[in-house]
Amino acid sequence: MSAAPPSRTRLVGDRFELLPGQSAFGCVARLSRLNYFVPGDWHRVFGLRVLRSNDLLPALAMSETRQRTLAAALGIECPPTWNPDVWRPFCGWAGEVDVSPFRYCVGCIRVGYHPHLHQLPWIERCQWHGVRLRTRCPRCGGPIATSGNTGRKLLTCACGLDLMNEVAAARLNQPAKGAVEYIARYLAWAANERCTCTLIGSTNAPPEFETLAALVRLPVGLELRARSVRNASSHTRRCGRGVPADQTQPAKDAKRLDGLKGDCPQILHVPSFMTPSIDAVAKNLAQKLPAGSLTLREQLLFLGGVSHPPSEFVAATRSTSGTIQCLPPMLAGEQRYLNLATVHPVISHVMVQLRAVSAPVQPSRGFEDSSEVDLLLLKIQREVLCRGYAEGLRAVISRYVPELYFLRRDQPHLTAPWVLLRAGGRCSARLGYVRLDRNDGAADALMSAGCGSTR
Amino acid sequence: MDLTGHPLYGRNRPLIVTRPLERFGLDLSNTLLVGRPSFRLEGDGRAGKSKAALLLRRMHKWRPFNLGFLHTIAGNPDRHTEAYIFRDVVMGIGLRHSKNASAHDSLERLSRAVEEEAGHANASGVILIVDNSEHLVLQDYKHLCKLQDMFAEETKLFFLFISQTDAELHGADSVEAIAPPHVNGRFFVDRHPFTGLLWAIPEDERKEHDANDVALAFREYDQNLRWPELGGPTYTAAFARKAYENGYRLEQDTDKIKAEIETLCASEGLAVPKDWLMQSFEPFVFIVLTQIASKDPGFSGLTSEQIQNALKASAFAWYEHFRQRVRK
Repeated sequence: MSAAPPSRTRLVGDRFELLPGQSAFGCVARLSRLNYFVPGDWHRVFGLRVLRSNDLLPALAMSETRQRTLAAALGIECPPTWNPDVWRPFCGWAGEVDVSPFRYCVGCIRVGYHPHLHQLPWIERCQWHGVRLRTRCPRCGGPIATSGNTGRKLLTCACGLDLMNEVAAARLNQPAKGAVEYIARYLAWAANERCTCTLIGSTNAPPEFETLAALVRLPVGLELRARSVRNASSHTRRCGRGVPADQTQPAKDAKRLDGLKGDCPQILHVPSFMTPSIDAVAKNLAQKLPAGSLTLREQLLFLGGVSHPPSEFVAATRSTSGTIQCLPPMLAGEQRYLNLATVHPVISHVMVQLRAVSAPVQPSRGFEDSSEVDLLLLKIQREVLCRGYAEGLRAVISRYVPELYFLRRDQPHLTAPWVLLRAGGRCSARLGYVRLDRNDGAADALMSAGCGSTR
Repeated sequence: MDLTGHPLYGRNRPLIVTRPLERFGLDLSNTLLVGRPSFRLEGDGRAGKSKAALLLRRMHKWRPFNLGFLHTIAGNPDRHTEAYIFRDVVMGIGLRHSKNASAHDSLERLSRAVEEEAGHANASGVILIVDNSEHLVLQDYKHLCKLQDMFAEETKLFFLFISQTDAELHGADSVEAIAPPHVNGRFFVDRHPFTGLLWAIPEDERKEHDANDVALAFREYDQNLRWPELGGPTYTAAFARKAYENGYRLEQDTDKIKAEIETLCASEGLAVPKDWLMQSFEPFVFIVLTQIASKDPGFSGLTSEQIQNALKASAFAWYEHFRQRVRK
């Protein structure tokens, strides 16, 4: 038999118009399954050079070259929806959290449909089937095959469960109900958001799935059906208003915050609008510490210029520690100086990035010239520094006061902030935090992250 | 009227619905309704079988229920193995070929392609048209049984074999004669003898139709085929405008054309055929309309000379020589 009259050769399942927003991985997985291609065929048929051990999902999502090659092999124009950036409602970050691990809806993947929408952390459920999106095998909890070295077909589990029904996938004759409209609306919203929203944080502490899920909130029209994540375990904080303008001295504050720049800043001259908050952090910790944790001198330093400790204060029996004495803000009249050994470098990095977002401050500028965004950024910087300082204090003191580990809320831990800043219209920001000390204790993490022997 | 963009001047001239096509459609429809697994369309070469199947695929009126279509062309390979035939069908229906594919892989791909076509047509049945099926041997039919057996439940695969009866000489060794019952009963029971345009009206159609197939085919050009499709003049009216306005229709010349064909056959030493092969008829009409009627300002009807020229240009005698196996 020879080739039939129809012009170009095609593949079973290549009617992509039935799969709106299908990811590049979804295309390869569906075509591989329906055409019985093995990993060796991926190069021959799709032109893809991917190590068998590589996860196909990020390998395709993060490489424009591979996307172009795949599109050329399929005889289509490279769909913009293969690029994860078009799905993100913010700019300023291009990590891989939303391309791995493989996340799917059991209803969609049954017909080989995997839109990149399902990878987004802020989407918890499938918009069309209403079911929770999964990352593991629904039967045994094992990993789903998304690479060529598993020895089994793509989209199958080692327990034998096959997520894709090949007959149903082949017979697919219309897109999921409402999928085309929803995806069009979502992409339009995301494109609009990217003009106003910026995600700011340190690349040394990339955002986690839960952090992003908590930071991004879908608008009402999209949220009703998608039910975006409201993960109670992921702490976020919303800032709607900035620092009161009369509390700031833009030129001075900017100069002092510039002290965070550089490779290894040691001391920060605390801006005046941050002083009460920084003092409160030290004072608050001193009051929460178990009895007998600090010596009298240390306690007085933490309380910040108080001549007498509270009557119920019980002093530690050890001698005063030079390290602990350096932890509270150093007083020089009205001025405060902060020892940055207590602040994780990631915090300084984020502070610098936040400074970069705000408009350059003119020396002659008064507070009445500060824009809403600038004031909001100052407030965020205060929040970030206070939290970083508080965590750093607890981490260092935990070496001397191990009882801190038994305090539930104040247990030593370190986090890095991620800020989703909305600059257009009514300014607002949302802060999320990523744990930094997952592998070691907070004190060790702070020690190892610091520069030089003092950090 | 400017006729430069007329479909008759196009590379693929329009196909017309003829009575042989309608008979074929009716038989196929009945076979499908009965639930048979295959159908054989048999006829002489150049009669228009493949084009009829192609046209039937485009038409929906005859279908008893929703149907999907796949089309492949049978070849004549050296080996008739399972791997070979399935891989060939996969390529034949237009799918990209995988070098490493085993027979099983090709079979599975084929079954998915059938499912996909069924889904695309929102149908439970898919017709796999196998053109040139006279090339298939018994082994091939056995392999096709396996393919068909894969669809026992929701989707049903129906084979439409297009077979040229005068391509090979059949004898006691023909596939049909040696096929075991399960192959014979599956692939050789339902068949339809496809003809060219008949000169005589079949007995059972006399009440229904007032003219023979040739006249009805001319009527298509006279009355139904229009350009532009909506509100445009018919093909005859476009090319023979004045004659058409004066009441001329191609159909009127049917008897005259038949007489000329009889004369031609007599001079060529041929028997007068009972039908007119579409491969000759369609160019005949093309020549009559575009070369004769449109270029003759005083055209009012075909003359004997014009008919003879058109028959010559449409290679009528040539086709009949080979069909009747009469050396020139």
